[in-house]
Amino acid sequence: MPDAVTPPASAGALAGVRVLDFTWAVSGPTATMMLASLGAEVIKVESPRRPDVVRRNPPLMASTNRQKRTITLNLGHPAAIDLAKRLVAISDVVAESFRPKVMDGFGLGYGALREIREDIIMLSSSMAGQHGPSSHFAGYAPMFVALSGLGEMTGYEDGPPAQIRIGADIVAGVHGGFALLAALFHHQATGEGTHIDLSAIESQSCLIGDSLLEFAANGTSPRRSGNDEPGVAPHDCYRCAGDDRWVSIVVTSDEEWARFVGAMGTPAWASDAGYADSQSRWQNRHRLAHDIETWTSARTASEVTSILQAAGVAAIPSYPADELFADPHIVERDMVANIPGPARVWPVIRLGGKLARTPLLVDRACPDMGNDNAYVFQELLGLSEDELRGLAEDGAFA
Amino acid sequence: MLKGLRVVELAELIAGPYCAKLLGDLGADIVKVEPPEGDAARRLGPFVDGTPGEDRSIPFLHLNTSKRAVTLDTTTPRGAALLRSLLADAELLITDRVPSQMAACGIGIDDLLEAQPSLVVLALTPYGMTGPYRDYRAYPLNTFHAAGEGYITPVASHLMPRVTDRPPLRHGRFAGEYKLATYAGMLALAAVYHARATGVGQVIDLSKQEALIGLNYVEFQPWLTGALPVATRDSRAVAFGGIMQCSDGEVQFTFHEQHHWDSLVKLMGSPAWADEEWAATHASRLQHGEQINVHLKEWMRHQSRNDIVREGQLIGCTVAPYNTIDEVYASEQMEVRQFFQPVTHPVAGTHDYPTAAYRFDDAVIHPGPAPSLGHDNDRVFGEQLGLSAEERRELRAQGII
Repeated sequence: MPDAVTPPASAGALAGVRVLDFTWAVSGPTATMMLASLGAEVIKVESPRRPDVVRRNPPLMASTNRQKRTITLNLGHPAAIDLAKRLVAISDVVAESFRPKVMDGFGLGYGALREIREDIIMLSSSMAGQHGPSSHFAGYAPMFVALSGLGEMTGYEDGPPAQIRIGADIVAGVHGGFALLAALFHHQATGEGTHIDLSAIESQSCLIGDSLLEFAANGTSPRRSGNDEPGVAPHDCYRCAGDDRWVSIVVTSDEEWARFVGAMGTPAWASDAGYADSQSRWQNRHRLAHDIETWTSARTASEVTSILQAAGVAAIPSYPADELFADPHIVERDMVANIPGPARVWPVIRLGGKLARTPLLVDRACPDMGNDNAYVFQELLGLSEDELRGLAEDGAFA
Repeated sequence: MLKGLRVVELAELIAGPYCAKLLGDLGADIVKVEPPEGDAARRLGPFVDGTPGEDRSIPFLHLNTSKRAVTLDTTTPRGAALLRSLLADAELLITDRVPSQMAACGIGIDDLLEAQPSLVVLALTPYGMTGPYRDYRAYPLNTFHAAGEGYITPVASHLMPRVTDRPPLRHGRFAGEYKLATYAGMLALAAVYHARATGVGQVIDLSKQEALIGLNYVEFQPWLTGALPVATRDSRAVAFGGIMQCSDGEVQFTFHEQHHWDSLVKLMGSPAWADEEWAATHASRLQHGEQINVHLKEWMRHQSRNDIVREGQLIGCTVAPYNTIDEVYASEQMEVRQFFQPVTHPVAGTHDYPTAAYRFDDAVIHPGPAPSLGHDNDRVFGEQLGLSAEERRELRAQGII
């Protein structure tokens, strides 16, 4: 393969792909951040009248919109819509996360975009999808969890559904990223564009796919069951030394059980007939947890992990953030990057995955609003400084 | 969408097979390589109609739609050679074997890439291919908790104020695996896109732990920048609202903006307590969470869930029903979007399978049934790799296929 067509390794797997990004808040911007991290040129559009709500939270803004360029457009202004359309003509992907119909209102619906560029790929990310009785719902992450069934399937067996605070926006974002890559693959193979209609609720439902099929197939509604896996014990987190410190331990066979017991120094309780085989251990799992904690609670989670892993038993701490990022494995795997932003250098969490030839890019935090107006409007669209000034005076960027 | 993409899956249980399923459901050609005794997920309950069987595991049926399947003992030299021939036709290998396991079947990832420079190898392992924990053993519960997500699940709320009496929790049964597998699929497609454009393949070393850490960045970021102390289940408590009980089920209330609160007050008929000074600002309301919960609970005790959601959403209230699984299945929104699609399996029968969160040009996604063990041995080893019936019989007798 001639070197001429091989982009430099630092360019990323999606070098040459351009994304016009109207998304805001967290779900949509996470999808496009993933594309930017893979090397796409992502141009984030904001309006100074309605800045992205995440701008109120600078560290989150820096991270969620890393690797992007930023421009301002007043989408209430006809000249701004005209500029947006000229940008569509030179983009491969348009992404948006407004409520359904809002893009149509701007004259930037999929049909209009196709008239500008027939092979455009468009992502519309919303809470419930573009159609249907719930498509107008106002939506935030905890509501996706509630509506999807994921919340119902999370919690202690004898308790209420668990209040989850983590990750629902990102789940929608990663499904958006996956769908965009599938569309880019299709475009590369056929030259055709597509419109992706993503439902954040369904993205959470996908995380309990087997539970949904269980109901559809057997007619019984599965319920939350803590950390339990039927027939397997130990399969839980166990209390360790320290305040609110825990280790997860899983033992799936008699052979692993023997190693587990040996690693603990063969305590007397382990020879209890109630722990003799998998089925008995499962039935007596609550008593077993109590016995295991007599051993774990005298040790730190990392001591327990070292002892058990040395014996080939699956164990790892349930990490709080400070211990996670100080952990020698995570330090060696280099999971935090310090990247320059407009006001300071921000530490950000890297996305997972070491791509040998096209490493994920993480070297720029989100710029201030409109940072790249000159590059985008002058270099990419070829406007003169006079034209730019005229449009600005007219309020197109306000 | 993915027609023409040729994938070999050498993986079992949840994440690896789910990643390949996502590609297969969109039209990629997936050849799933199982050991002669089958993917361990075939023995994972629950089973269709409660009857165990290698084609009746509900997790297996779901995780392996739209694939072909062969059996191959890759620990034998002949089996490893057949795997290499199979890979010669592929663009993407999805494997969950750690490097030492790959080496055990005589396949080095570096050798594969040397022989086939445009191949993409997605190595999806618990802790990655380097670092002190690279050979650590792990099951899905471990990798989930290894990423810090369990430590803040569930957060304290009026439902469970003393949550740290109980262990940290996973999400769903395998939610972490599904989530990281979707991310893995995105990375794999990006690498294939790059390989098709440039002829340059590569290895993706994806640690499940790291995939999940990266997908939790929103929760870690405030601590990392010094804006908040380490998140615990107590420190991230929901002060008021959250999951609340109605007369006939639960709803979720979320308050981000002043107008979210204002619309709830309106929905409640503007009670006098909401007019008091302490209820005026979000900051002040956070200080009076318990008090607000007492009022909310009293009001909600007499409300039906559907009324609150319907009337609340009409006036901009951020409220949603807390759906049980049967309610998700029956929901009108899912029906309109045809999220569930019938799939007919020759042994397991016809059932409605959940499909995907995305539609391309409004097209419904139609998964194909999960394959029986060795379903495509003849076609793949015979037609594709050119082994005669005699050779195949011999391999079968030796337990290799």
